[in-house]
Amino acid sequence: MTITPDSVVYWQWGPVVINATLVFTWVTMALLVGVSVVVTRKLTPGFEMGRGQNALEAVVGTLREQIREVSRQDPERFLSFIGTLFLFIVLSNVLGVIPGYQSPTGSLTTTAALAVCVFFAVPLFGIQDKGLSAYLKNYIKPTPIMLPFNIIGELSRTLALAVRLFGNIMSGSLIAAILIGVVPLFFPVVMNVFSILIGVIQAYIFSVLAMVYIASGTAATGRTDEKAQDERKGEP
Amino acid sequence: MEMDWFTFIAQIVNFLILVVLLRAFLYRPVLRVMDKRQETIAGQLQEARETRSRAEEERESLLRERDELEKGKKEILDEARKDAEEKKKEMIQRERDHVAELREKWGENLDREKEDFLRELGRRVGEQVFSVSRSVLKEFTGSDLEEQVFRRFLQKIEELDGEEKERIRSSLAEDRSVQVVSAKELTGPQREELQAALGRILGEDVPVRFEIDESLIAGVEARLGGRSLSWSMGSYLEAAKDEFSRVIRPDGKEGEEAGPTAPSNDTSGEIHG
Repeated sequence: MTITPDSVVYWQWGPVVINATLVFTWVTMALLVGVSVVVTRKLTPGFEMGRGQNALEAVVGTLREQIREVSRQDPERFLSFIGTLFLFIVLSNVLGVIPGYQSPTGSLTTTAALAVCVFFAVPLFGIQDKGLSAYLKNYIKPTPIMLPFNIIGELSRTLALAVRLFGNIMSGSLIAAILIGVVPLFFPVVMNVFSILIGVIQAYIFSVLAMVYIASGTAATGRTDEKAQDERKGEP
Repeated sequence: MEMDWFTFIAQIVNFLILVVLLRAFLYRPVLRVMDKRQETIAGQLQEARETRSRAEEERESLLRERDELEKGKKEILDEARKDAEEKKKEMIQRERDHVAELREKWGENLDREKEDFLRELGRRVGEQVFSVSRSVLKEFTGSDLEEQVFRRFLQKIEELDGEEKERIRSSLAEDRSVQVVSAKELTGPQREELQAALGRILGEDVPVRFEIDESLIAGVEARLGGRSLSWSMGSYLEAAKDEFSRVIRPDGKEGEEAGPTAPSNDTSGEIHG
């Protein structure tokens, strides 16, 4: 029994390892990009549209609205990052019900990589938004005494982000695997359905938390979308 | 649990590549299309609003125009009615005038006919009376009526006062023609007698021209220059005509002065100055 797809190695040359995590990540990426390319090749701005376009517009529109609600800022610049996080995670999790598919999100390596991406995205967006010094001042608020706690909080929430997703997905597939051994009929199906639910919820949680962290980095001073817009208008 | 660092780095790279790819192939095009559609919808909404407001304006102006037309129609109708009324009045007036004119003409005709009738009647009556008188006179006195009339005329001339004679003389000084008109031809002695009488009045002999006019019925008239002396039945006839005219007067008051009325002047006749 494998706990992580990292240990399923297909090819190795020195430190370069092609394992199941990478392979299924590529599969997921290929699926996402392929569908996007096929559908967006024939987009129409009119009111008559294909099913694929309709579905993609629904997905992208919903993502945008969710990001707007959570961040209370212009959603366009977060859409690529947060939307990709959500789409990749949810697809990996949901595809996990297919026998033989190893969810990349069931590997701590993948979730850690995503968490690290979020970890770096928070200061990047923050600095882009308000400048380096203004962003760094966030760490000594409300007093400089809070600086170490802020740094620890930054690190721990990244760790939590990675472990939460990994734990949920890994446990889901593990439970399914164990139950197949104990109760071979019916019950594993129920658990699989359950794991789909968990997978979607976890993808949502991961994305929303990432958005919240980024938003706190950009709008930690309590700026709302409206205020940001007002300031932008006031600029020469 | 160990971390495979190569896989870790590779996953980060994979994720970033996925971000870039999805950005290029999913978010950008889809958002562009959605925004374009949004714009289209907004544009159409705007257009619809404009169209609506235009339609609203159009409606307002049409309503106003219709009101004006309605008002204009009423005015035209009123005017036409007024015109028709005036025309009607005018036509009625014209007809009335026409009728009045006709009536007037008819009245004139009637008057004329009455006049003619009266004149004719007077003439006939005069002739009748005269012929009756002549017969009666002959029966009882054996004398001629014409002779009597002539005598009376002569007497009238003899009896003229000085002033009248003077007036006749002065009138004859301008125009020396003397004309004697009678209903019947005067006899030779009568002519001589009359010429002598006139010579006595005028103080000299004047040439006298004798003429006959049967319309006098029985009477003699002497025209001396601008003046005339006569005896005729004219006054009796006039009185008779008046009487007849009263009888046939349309107001029906003929009974008021009914009865035979003789002329107030005596039968000796009169001198018409």
